[in-house]
Amino acid sequence: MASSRSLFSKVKRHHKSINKNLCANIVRHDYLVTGKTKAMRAQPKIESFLSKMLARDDELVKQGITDLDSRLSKNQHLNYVHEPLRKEIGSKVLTELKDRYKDRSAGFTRIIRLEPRLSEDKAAMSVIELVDSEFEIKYWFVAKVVARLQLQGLELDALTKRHVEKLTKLRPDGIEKFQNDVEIAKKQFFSYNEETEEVEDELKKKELENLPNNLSYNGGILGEALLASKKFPTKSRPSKEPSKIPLSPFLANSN
Amino acid sequence: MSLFLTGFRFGAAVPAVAEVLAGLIPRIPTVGLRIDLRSQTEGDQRLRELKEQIEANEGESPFMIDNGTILKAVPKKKPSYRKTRTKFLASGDKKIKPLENIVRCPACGHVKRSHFMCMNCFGEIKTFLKAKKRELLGEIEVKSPFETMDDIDKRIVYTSKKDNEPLEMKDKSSWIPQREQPMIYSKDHLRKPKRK
Repeated sequence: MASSRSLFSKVKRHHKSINKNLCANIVRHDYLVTGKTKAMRAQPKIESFLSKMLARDDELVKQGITDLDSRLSKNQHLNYVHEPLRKEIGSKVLTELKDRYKDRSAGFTRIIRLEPRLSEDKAAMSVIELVDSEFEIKYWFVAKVVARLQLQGLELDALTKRHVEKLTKLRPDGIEKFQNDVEIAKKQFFSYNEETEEVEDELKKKELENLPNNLSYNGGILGEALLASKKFPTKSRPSKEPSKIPLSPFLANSN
Repeated sequence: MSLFLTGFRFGAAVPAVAEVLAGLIPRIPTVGLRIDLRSQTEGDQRLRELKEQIEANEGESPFMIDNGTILKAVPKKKPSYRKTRTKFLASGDKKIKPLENIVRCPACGHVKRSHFMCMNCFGEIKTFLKAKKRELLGEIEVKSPFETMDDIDKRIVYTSKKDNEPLEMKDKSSWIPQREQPMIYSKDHLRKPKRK
């Protein structure tokens, strides 16, 4: 990735503008398919925009300002976005995204690498998406993985379990909704009929016969070994006991 | 006197030279033109052969070295053994390297690169999410200003708007490249690691 520091100011200004546009459009659409370089350049800008916006809004609400228009006008971090988009983007950030990211202060975005583009330039492509959204690509990918394993009659391996845990942790009724979505994924991606409990498409049926090489990862002996280091004999950290702070002798005396 | 002589000689020589030249220059057969074969074939042997060839070739001109695009640029000499070997044993950066990072996609069982999204699954998920978006948010109609414009405005703003796109480019499915369906993963397809 060429750093814009070494480039002409003309190019630098263009890069800034691209970052702003990507920032506005990811709030609009929840995920974008762009070049890898563009996505990696814009990601820190998007992160700082969202975290600063939300932190400043918390301050304003604490001061007692509840009207949306005044919250928008007093939030100086909204000036990062181009002017005609400010109202649309700002109101979405302060209503939808604020609810979604109650428990987050950072880590709002994710970059997924794609295969290079099929054009002449063969540019490296990627998806940049907002986490915990309704249209999260990784979420549906993991739902598809779980659906496939369930149709094959296998248990989840440790890596998939971890993905599921991470993706559902900060969603409202995450696990219940995820199980629902796995059922949708079965119908959508594997042509699974609920009434007959069979996969109707023959090609999909053939694909399901392709099992993983080592089945002991799926609920066998190697179940937990997948996430452990192969190089070093590591042990998991023992669970922390809640520490007790002894009472101050001076306080005890006074009481 | 000398002038006269030379003039005389020259004048006498001109017709003789013209006759000789006419006899010396061979008549080049012009292929593809209409040849009145009836009168000419009687005299020349080559033209008779040409007539036979044209008749055998169903009226078309026969094979000649310069009547088609048969001749193409070719290397002048065979590259030597040393040159070919140096090319094949060039530095490894310039060669196409084999993909070692191929794994089974956990969601579809096809081949994919590790640390990359499976494009087979990505296509499916993307179409699914687009449909879902349409359900939740409704169809977003984006009208271009050209459609909603007044006729007079159109004439003023778009003075020379032409449809310059050629016909064969309009059918986009014919020329936009499509990703092939990847192979189903099998361990036998992979190169076995070397044993130490």
